[in-house]
Amino acid sequence: MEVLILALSFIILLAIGVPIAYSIGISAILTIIVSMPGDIALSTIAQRMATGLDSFPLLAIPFFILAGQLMNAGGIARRLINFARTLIGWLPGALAHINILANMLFGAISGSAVAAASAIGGAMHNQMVDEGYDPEYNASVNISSATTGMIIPPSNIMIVYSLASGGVSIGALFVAGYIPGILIGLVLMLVAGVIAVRKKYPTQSTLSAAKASRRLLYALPGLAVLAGMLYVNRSVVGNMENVSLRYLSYVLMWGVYFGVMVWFGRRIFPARLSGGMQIAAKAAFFLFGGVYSKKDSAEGEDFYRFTAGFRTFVDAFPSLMLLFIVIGGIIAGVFTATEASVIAVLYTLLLAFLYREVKVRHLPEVLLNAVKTTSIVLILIATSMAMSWVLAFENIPQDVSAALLAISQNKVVILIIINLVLLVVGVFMDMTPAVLIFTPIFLPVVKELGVDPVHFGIIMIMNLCIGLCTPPVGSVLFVGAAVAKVSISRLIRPLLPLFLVMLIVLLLTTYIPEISLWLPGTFGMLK
Amino acid sequence: MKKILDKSLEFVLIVCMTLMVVNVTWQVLSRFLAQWGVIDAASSASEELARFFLVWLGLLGAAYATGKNMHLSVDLLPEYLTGHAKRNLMMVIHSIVFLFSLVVMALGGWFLTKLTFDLKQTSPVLFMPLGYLYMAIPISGLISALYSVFNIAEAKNS
Repeated sequence: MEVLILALSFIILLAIGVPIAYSIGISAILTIIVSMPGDIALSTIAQRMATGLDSFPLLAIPFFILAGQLMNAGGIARRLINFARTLIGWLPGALAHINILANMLFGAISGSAVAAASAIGGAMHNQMVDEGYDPEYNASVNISSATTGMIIPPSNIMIVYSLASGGVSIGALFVAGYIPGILIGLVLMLVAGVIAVRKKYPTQSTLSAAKASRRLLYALPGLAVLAGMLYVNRSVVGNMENVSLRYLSYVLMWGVYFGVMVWFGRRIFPARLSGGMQIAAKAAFFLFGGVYSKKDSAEGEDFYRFTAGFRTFVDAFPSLMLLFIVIGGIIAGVFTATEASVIAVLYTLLLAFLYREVKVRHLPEVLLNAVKTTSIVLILIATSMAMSWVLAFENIPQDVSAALLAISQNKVVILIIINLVLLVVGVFMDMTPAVLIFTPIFLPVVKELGVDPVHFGIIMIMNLCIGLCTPPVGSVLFVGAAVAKVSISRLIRPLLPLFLVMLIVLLLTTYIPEISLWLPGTFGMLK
Repeated sequence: MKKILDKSLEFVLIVCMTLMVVNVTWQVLSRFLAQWGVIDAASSASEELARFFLVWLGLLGAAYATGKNMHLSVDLLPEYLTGHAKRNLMMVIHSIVFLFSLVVMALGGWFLTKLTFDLKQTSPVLFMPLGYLYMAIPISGLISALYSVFNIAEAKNS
């Protein structure tokens, strides 16, 4: 009976266009008012809304949003696009790849898919149209890749999941998101590249496929060194008993690694390369991934390209540093996610002033923009927490759990069912309420079957990310369509192949736990 | 009238956000200072204050968002309809928001605030009456309800 009231009222309210936050709140009160006296029901729902927000970890959400707004105003998007161009401008359909990579970087730094879709998509769109790309293709690439920012840390939705799951480590979730997020970015690039070749979209340089593949070959030694470092990290340092010794070793090891990379980089940066420096430069190419190679072109041109490319890196470096400060600090246990978020605000504020793109008189506007986005998310959290309490009060999680386990005790089957449900939920619901309402329902079931809560969090967020790009409730879809000035109905077809590969990565992540759990395991972050 | 409300809410919200940043910055700083032995103990009052600002920011911001029609919704039906049907539907939607704001948030919130003041519940660190925290709900509800009235009037005249 209660379930019927809840489902019916929610669906009707949502369908006629009542704001999602209010729909959730109203169906919560309608469900609970059957079971208790009116005044108590009203004040309980009101109380749950307030206590739902009264949480220290949640403070990270407004701060990460504010940091994102400061970056938007601070010209960081443009610098990341230039850096992405240096790295992958030679691929066919270059601008699409640049869009995807810049979205991954920007989404990661700002933690918001909507911010990435509007900042990067907006900056790329005109240029792509000028070079003969279809607006529908641009928009669909931009929309699908913007969601990777929710999976690559830092990510607000992971903080929400941590809250809903009763305190899964935010740090472990963050680190677990790297490989799945990058994987999605790569498969999206693959599809975008195939379409670009078929439609004969231009590259940004005259590099042939043979040369391009040779350049990738040069990256192998660098990658091998990195793989070796990760192996030592996992098997030697990760096993150290003494906690402070372990963190010291992490810092020393990775500090030396990045120090060597930067040192080589600085030695190449001066105007002339001497004979001995050639070797050092070569080594630096290997370490950086060896995208540039002397054999490919005349020496002068190559040197010019490298310095110009390196300059984009130097220009983007302070922005990229934010990732190291935030994630590094969390991994090392120096500060919590909330503390990291306020440090991100201070750091982006400093950067925006240093880049001289934001003045003090712009700050109220930036703050107000952040407040707008924040409060839309917060009221969703408030009513969803009330709803979540109502569900628990009515014993609905236990009922669903029993029903699911009655269908099957098989992990594969249950995960397929949950994936399908979450995909449908993602289509009709925004991410935040979906995580808050469905985590308490599904997490106990999968825990019983031996799925790690961190792993399940990544599965859930990836599912809902796909929903962010579908109508009728897809904030990223709407923003992406708006910046490209195309109608949503014309975007469905070009989005389909991209959805397909995202689904494939989702399935891989669901059934191969190592994709998400290996990296946090490497840092000893899983219990 | 609506403009004055908008402007003053904007001011309060910006101040709230700024205070939150200052607050948590101090919290982090004090923890490090305490670790290095410069001050005696990390600030625990700042954590409570920051959460207090967060609740007020979220709820007042939600009222502001109602006024600006910024809440996320499924707008398939409103977009599909035209003319009178659309006008009526918009009025129904805004009325539903009005009812929720007035009955659940303003009235329910008022019961709650009164109860916590009567029971003299206080916060653990600052000993601040919790009523001041819960008061955000009825106030946000009243402002939302007021904005909904503006929205209904606007929909009626469209």
